Amino acid sequence: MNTLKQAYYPCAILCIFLAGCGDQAKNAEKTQAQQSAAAQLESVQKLVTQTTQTYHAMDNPTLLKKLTEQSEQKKEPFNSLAYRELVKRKDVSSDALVSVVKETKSADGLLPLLLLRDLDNKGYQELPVELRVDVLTDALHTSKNFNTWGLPGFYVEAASKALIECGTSAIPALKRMLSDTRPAPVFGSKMHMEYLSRKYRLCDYALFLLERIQGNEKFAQPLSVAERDVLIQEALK
Amino acid sequence: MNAPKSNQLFRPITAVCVAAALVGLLASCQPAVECGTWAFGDTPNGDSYGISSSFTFNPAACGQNCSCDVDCIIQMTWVYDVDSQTYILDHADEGNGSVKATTDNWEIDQWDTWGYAYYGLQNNGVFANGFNNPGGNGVATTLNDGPGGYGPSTLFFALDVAVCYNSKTCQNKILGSYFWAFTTDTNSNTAPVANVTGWTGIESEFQDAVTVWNTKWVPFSTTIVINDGTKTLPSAVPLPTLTDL
Repeated sequence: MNTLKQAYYPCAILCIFLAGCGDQAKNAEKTQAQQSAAAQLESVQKLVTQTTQTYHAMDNPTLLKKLTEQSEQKKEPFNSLAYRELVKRKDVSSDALVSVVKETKSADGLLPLLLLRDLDNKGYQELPVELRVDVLTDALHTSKNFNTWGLPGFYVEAASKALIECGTSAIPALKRMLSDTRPAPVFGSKMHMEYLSRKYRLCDYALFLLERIQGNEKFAQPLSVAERDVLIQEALK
Repeated sequence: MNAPKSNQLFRPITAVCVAAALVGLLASCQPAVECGTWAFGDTPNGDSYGISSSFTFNPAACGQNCSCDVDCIIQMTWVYDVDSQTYILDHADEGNGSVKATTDNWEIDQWDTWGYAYYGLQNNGVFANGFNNPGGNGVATTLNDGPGGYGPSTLFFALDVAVCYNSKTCQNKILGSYFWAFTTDTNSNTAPVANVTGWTGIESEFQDAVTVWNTKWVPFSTTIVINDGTKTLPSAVPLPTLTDL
């Protein structure tokens, strides 16, 4: 009986192992592709963790420098590593952010401006509205991708909200953009499909923001370019 | 000669431990259960990457017997920027991040204004034409996606998970999964990287995404308007517990 027991365990292990080997042999090709995909995923996920830790270890002045660089590179706030790190901190100097915004007075100051809005809204509101309009409208006008602004009718991102908050001061600059028909691409999954389907342009963003500033909370962009162009022509009058 | 008592006790315990370790080892690298077949088609076109991910349920393929009246697909995605070595979001739904994201930054791919996690299911309970038509036994459910617009050196990963949405016997069962990925070159042109059926590890990541959807996104969604144009919902809809068939 003891001999039987002693033989049982190694046998059980062998059976399990052989069963696994059988499965693996059967799916050899598939498993190799799966393992390759899993290994690639794992390696890049490790890099993400390392990068996050690197930024976490930086002091505020270094991060502010990075923030300015990433603003010049037109990174979205949610994809700027410096922004992601700084927005979680409680000891970021508002004066330093204000200083960068005042120095740039252009799209390059967008991330510091939006960070100030997130961290110190009172300090943000105290900035002259003309300065905020200059930074925000220049950023909109020179955007390469428009994810920073959201997708009219779907998402209104922080930059768009900030521009709407500027009120009528933003109207002249936005009206000038009503004539700009260059494409306003967005990257993403469904978002990109929606962009391709509706063919959004800079003027469509300008129209959307103008309507919101003028109090039309329920404004919905028509699906077709032709219908939007009719509204744009009316807004230009 | 009899072995000492301690040795007699040690042998079975060791054997059980070794067996458990082997089972664990084998399970972690095993393909996930596939109760049907996937047909995947991709169309790289400049900076866009059109895909058609189609699953045809056949319970016999995994030794089961079940009639699934409606099956459909849930998609989760993860995007990586090689140059800055970080993940990329296409929008932020709270503050500066994504409420739907797992700690590994996978998230269920769905508009914020659509309440259901099922890729093509609108708020009115009707599957939208074109995104993901439902299927059933022997009838394919096909998900169409067209991600793109990303900058150079991007890696886009997705997992499509076929689930039984409506059935008397196998509702809320995972029927199979499919992993696909593409990259962009220095000119942002897309090219395939991988397309292969799922494995147990990636399905575990999917379960994390389901948990985040239910525990974080659903409560958060009460603070926004969940209106996809067909119906307004009070919040996003929790996913049921999804288990392998």
